[in-house]
Amino acid sequence: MSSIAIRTEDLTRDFPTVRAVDSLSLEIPTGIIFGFLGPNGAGKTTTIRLLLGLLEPDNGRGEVLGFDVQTEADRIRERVGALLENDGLYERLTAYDNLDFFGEINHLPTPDRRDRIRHLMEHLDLWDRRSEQAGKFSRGMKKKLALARALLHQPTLLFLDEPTTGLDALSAVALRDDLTSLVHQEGVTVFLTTHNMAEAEKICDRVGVIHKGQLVVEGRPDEIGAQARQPIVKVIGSGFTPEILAEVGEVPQVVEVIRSEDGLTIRLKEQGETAELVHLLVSRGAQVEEVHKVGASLEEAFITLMGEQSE
Amino acid sequence: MRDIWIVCKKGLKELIGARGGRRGFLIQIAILAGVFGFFPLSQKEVWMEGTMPAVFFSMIPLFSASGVVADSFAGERERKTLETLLATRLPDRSIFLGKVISALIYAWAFTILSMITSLIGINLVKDSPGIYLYPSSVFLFGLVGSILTGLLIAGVGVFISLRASSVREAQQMLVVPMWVLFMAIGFGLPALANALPESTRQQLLRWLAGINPTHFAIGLLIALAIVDIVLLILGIRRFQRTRLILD
Repeated sequence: MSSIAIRTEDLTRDFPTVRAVDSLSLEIPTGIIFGFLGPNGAGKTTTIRLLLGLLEPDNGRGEVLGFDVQTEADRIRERVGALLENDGLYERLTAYDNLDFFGEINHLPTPDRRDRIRHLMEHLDLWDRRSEQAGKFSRGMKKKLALARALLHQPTLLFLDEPTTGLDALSAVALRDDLTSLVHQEGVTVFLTTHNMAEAEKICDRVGVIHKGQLVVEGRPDEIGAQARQPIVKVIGSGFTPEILAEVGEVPQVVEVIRSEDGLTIRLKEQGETAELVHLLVSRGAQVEEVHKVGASLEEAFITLMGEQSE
Repeated sequence: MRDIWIVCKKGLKELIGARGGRRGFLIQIAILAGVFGFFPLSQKEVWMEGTMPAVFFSMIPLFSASGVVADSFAGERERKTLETLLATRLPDRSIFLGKVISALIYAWAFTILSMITSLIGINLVKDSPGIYLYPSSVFLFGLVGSILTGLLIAGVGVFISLRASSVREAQQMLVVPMWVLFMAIGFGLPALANALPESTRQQLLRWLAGINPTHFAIGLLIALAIVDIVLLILGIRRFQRTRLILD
């Protein structure tokens, strides 16, 4: 099997009033959880639809598991699992029948199908409610059931479109835990779209940020954070006179100095040594008790990136 | 074939599971079959004469399947299950034919139930002795005719349902061709006959009177079969998953 799970080159898709995906070029290795981040309407769902062969690109090309998205989409769909924007469950059917239907679609032999359904439902704490109509499930349980459906035929690649959207915090954490444990257990490559940065930072090996259909940045979450972040130094202490603040503000490395109740918050242009700043403060008579370098989260990096893109 | 049956089976399972489960489904069937059995019950032996039962049974699928076919794709779209179905390995043709066949099976089962109900009704109220059974021509025409009209409504309905964004929209769109058909038969043909010159009309009536009813029925069934095949071919060609996601 190829070591590249997904490869796109200038993939483009237009709708009558908007270019949803604009010259997207990506390369995602197998065996990782890839987070595709972006605000609503950025082109995340359209990208998944293009990769699954549910939409045709207007330009460019894409390959999933070595198969062309336009000419071999049926072979792609055989090998991947998908939990799309809507959970896609048949609410009139029981939870078990929902999985059984998709097991049949994937031609799983009956005994294997039964075992697999039981294994997944037990893992996700759904087995006891297998005979209930899916429509009676809570949103979190529906998402779990849809996750089981996506993993049923042991796909090599899993597409997850906003899997935790609409869930309360506890359900989201539970689903995320189930997802990561199952994914690692089954060795699946995951393409996950989300606008939950904390989620992406926790579970993704690599992330790509898309805005207005264009890939803005791609890399490890910490790399992206480092690229986009403006480091912050928090100084706790007293004696920070207006003269001292003005002097610190004139240091070339410093972007902004903000006075707070217990000290100062200093935003820097880039990562670097803070010893010089501390020395300056102490030499001017300030009483410095503590100094913290605060790293920006992926969320802060994302907001910075989106701000830059909008300018 | 296996994939078609998988889609078809799921469709039927959903139908039976809808509106209060199996019990609700059986009550619904019983009520409708009772209604369809009422006409022969009220007409006694008159019902047995002529081609009326055959025509009656052939028309049942037009009513019984219309709701099911309108729901086929538009319902999946409305309930947000269509995209997930399209994201599976099922070939386009299997999804389309599975939907058509599940509507057809539903309509046909309904027709058979109505035929049995009618038969029981006639035997309960008839004045003549013995057990009445449908003449073989009526029985065959009813069975084959109902399959073909079922296929017709399933073909047209699924075709419409493909492009409709909701079940209600599909039902509204489906009413149009049914109205056109009934208006054409009820008013169009008599109006056309009246518009013909008297001599031509007489000639036509003489020709119609000379036609063997069996041959006429067979001809009608063949014409219906041809329309069904054309509709199915068009439907299969038109069914492309890349054109089905409307949002």
